[in-house]
Amino acid sequence: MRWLRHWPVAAGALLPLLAVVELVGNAWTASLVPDWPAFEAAAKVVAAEHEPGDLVIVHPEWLGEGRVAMGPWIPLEDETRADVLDYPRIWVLTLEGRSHPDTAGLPVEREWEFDGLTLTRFRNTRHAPALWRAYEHVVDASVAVRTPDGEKSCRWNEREGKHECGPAIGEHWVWVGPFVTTDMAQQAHYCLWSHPTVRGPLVTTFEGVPAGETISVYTAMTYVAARDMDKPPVRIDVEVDGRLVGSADQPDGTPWQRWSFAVPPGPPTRTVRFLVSASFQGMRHFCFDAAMRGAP
Amino acid sequence: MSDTPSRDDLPGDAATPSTDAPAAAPTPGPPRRPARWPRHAIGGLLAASYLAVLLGTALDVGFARDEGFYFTAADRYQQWFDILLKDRKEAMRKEVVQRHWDMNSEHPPLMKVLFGFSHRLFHDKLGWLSPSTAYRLPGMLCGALLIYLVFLFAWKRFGELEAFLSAVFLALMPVFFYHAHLDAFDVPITLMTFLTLYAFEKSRSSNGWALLTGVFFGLALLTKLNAFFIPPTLLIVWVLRDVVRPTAATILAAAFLALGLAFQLDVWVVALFFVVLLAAVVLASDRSGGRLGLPRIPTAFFWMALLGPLMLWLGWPWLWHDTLEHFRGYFNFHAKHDYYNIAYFGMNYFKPPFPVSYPFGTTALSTPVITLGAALLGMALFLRWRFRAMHADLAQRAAALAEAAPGWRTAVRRALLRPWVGVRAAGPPADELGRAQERSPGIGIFLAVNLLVPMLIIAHPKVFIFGGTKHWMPAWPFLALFAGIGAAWALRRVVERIPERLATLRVGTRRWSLRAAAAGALALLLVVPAAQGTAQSHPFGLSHYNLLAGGVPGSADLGMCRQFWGFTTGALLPWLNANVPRNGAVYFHDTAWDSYRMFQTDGTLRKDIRWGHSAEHSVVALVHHELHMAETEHNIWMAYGISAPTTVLTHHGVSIISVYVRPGTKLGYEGPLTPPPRAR
Repeated sequence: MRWLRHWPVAAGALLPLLAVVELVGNAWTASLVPDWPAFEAAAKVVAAEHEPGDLVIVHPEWLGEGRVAMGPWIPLEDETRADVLDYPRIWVLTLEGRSHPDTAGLPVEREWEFDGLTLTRFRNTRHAPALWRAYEHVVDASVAVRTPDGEKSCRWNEREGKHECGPAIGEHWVWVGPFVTTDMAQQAHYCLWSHPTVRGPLVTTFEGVPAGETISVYTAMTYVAARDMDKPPVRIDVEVDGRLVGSADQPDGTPWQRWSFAVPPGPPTRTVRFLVSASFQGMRHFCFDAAMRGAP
Repeated sequence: MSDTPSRDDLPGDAATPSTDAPAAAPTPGPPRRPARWPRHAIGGLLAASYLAVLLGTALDVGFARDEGFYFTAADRYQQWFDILLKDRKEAMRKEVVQRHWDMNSEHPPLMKVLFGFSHRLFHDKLGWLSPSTAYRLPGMLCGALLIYLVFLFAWKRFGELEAFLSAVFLALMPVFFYHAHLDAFDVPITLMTFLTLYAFEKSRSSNGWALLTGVFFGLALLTKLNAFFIPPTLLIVWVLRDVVRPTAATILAAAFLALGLAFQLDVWVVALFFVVLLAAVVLASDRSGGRLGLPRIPTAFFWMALLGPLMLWLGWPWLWHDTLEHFRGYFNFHAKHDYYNIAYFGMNYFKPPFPVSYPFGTTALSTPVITLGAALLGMALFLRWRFRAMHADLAQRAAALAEAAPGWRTAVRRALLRPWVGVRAAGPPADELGRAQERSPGIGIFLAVNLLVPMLIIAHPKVFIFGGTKHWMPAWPFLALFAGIGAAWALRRVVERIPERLATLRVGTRRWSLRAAAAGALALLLVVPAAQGTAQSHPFGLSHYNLLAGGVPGSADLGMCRQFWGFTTGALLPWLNANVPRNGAVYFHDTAWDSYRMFQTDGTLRKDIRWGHSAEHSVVALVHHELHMAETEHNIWMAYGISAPTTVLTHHGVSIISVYVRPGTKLGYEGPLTPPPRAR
């Protein structure tokens, strides 16, 4: 152990060594993300091979130049998607060595490398296109609040694009309409704003919905509403042809959730009803979406 | 107070062995003090260079939210001085005072007054600086002055190499470099705090410095709220240095108490540790005749208590009327401040409890690794010195017991000191650290307490976190000092290995010290990565992270705070000037209105670009990426019906600002309209 006596020199030598490591490391981390030409090259490939219905994902979210380059192929509906089930092919632009969780286990169709960028096209083996989506048909829905005094209908406001329940129950924040929510995970999702009221369940009814095997229901609460973790959950009950097929709770602190309920056999078109309720109505910025999937 | 003369009274170079020669030594006269000018010249040169770099890079750094408010407040205060010069009686009227000084009265006025005077002198009168740089100059001067003071402090107590490295390590902290540009209070309060502590340190042997401690404390109170923490910090320093003797018992008891508090042990266990600590303190004190010997209380405390509040009142017209009510308002603004959002390892914290590790974790990830490594070595060296001193002390006590009178007390002591019986302890190391401890007893405690207290305050789970690392900035000079001490010690050990025959190089008739040259070269090597990190960070200082975090991309993956205050807009101005259509409205997101106005006043933003209150009212919308700001971006998506930005401002590839353009907007500026020819 005589060498231990030399520790001061060893410690002294370590600092210059650390300086060299940091010097090289700083240069390395600064060049982890390639320059704009790499993104341009990736965009050219997507421009040439993109097909309608493809999903393009840029990962991680902070890769801003990727979002600029892929912008023409990332419409708002895709960026705020409920999940990836609707897309037959998925493109992922990311940094070398990274992968996106939504593509785990999917077969790779083709991959391109651009100076540290990786562009991969996956075949989505989980592809299960929606036969019907709630937010696409919100205009056709009928909305009402089921109060102890009877149902109070909510009027469709063409200009605002939403069913307003304010005039009926005196609570202007109660309406049903398209909304981009920012969930607990700070992710954006397209959904139908459906703030509950203690006066009774907020009922949204869709007629003539094409029947499928399952109905996927998506729920979320906005980050600002759910982050305090001190309020009761919002409940959503799903009825098909007047029969309860499933219920879900959206408690504070949980991000975007997906629920899958089996649709009972029946006629080719169905009546689907969503009942949103809560025992407390302060800051219950709830929204939902739903998709009918699978052939009957 | 200790009677030990301070380093300032001792002759000889700080890096050379102590020259405490006996007074009766037959010397021809009083020992010559080493010349002062080299340290002042070198320190001054460092500070001047730093100021030059700050001035040269100032316009690159966009205006932080708070800066905008301080620009406006500075102007309002100047208006009061105008009235004062014209009609003193009118200026003193309650309504006039309150009308001018109520603005931004949640912060004391000293720096805002200086910002205003600087603007008047260097922009309005001399025209030397742009409007914003003129406002910012006092803050930059504070940064440069702090570098100079750290250099002086380290030179006098430790040595030249330590001084150079400490000052440069501080100057090259990317976050410090960023803050040193601003017309804000964080660098100034760090300067005022350091100045007060420096004066307090010197007041150990000088009544003049004790008085100055009070003056500097008053200036600190006039600078920012952090000043209220200076007296408790100094009290801790005094207790640990001069009241509690660092015996084994006191150190162990204090360590147990600290561990008990850290691990939140049962209150009775913590109370027991506290009682044990008290007992250890009493046992270690000068006791005679059944009385406890109280140490002398530093005169500086008296001056601080007297001058601090007095200067605060005199220097802040807002307190001249309704003093208690206004002071209460100032105090309560901070005591009952709203909690802000802060991202830390992927979590957005917005209310207590905040993570205890926050100040330590963010410091570890935002300070250059070399600075951290050297600082840890410096701290370890002080601990080593302390443990070896304790070890020697215990061995000495154990040896003394051999001749002690028999009895139960002696038996207990022998049992406790058994491991040290017959031990020949080498004593604390006689290196430059040991000599520094001899010259300034307890200097390690002074450094450690001043490093830890500001960080521990923020570490408390209920204390607000809304400014990243800046709220414990007064700790940074001490981190830099530890780094400078550690690095210099390490380099000296390395160059000592140069064989004696090679230590001196002869070129003609001149001799060159190879050891000194090697030490200098290695010192430069050590500061290069810090300089590189600082250069890379500019002008995104708050967005920058070190190699431990994996750089900026790594920090983004970790979910660390990417920015705050909306200052990064400054780096986007060229794009805005080139692309926003004539008279187009821009939603500037987190950039304050006053900051936007200052861009236009400076001439760095086109005057026709309008302020948009929201994305809906604008053709271009910015998003300053912060974890809790995601909703703002999503609102823009809804307003514009798109989700992809048109362009993005990045730092090392990481999005800092995304720019969204309303669909259908024709980008591009075609220059000013040509006025139609006038009819003759």
